[in-house]
Amino acid sequence: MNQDPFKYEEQLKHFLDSYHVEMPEFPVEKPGRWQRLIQWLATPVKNPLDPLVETVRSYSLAGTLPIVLGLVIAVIT
Amino acid sequence: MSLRQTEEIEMAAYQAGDAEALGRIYEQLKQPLYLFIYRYTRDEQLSIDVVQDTFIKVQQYKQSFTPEKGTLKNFLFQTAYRIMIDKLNRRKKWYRLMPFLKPEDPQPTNTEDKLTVQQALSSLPEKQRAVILLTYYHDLSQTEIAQMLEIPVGTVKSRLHHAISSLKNMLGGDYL
Repeated sequence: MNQDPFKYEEQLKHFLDSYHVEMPEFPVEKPGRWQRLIQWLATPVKNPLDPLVETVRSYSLAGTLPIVLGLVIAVIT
Repeated sequence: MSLRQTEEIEMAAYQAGDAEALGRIYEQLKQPLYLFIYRYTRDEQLSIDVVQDTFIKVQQYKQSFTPEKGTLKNFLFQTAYRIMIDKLNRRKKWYRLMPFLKPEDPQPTNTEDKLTVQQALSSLPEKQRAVILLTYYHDLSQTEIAQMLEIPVGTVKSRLHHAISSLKNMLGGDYL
């Protein structure tokens, strides 16, 4: 018989007890492939441009890029 | 009659051809399985998939369960754990190739305590996390955990000791 490793850890037990999870209802059978694909497509993902959007450099880039592009187009034409 | 005996009787009935017994086993054990996977991964859809895949495996390999090898609960937890690790490893490979597919981090929850316990458990190394979840929330013995994770009992003890120490360090100060 193993000794209870949490025997003298009342505060830790109290802390771990505070982790409640609500379980959704779901059937034993898996949904079909199409439904799984739709669920996967609907899963929110991180915006890959986030690191660019939230930096000072990105603001200056956003401000100067139209001017640079305008100059490039003017030179080309 | 203990819960364990009831589960084993249901499984014996299922192995003997009573298809409805699987539904009864599912009703009894889907919650502990889901809670374990969810607390480990904090991913609702993945947890549902793992529970469903576990029961598909049970249907495919129903004759491979024998009560002499361990309890039905342990058998299901071991199957679920293997499926979960396979899925997580496959995901890691995909995310390495295509990082933009990585889903958003789980949303913070309402209470500060809950948020902290989730974060604390998630920040434990995976091997320690499995041991502490199985010990504390699912009341599995160290021998059962050793069998399930295919590691020696001594390793279970040491991982549990480190997990408890890490949690106490992380939660030290205001809470503990």
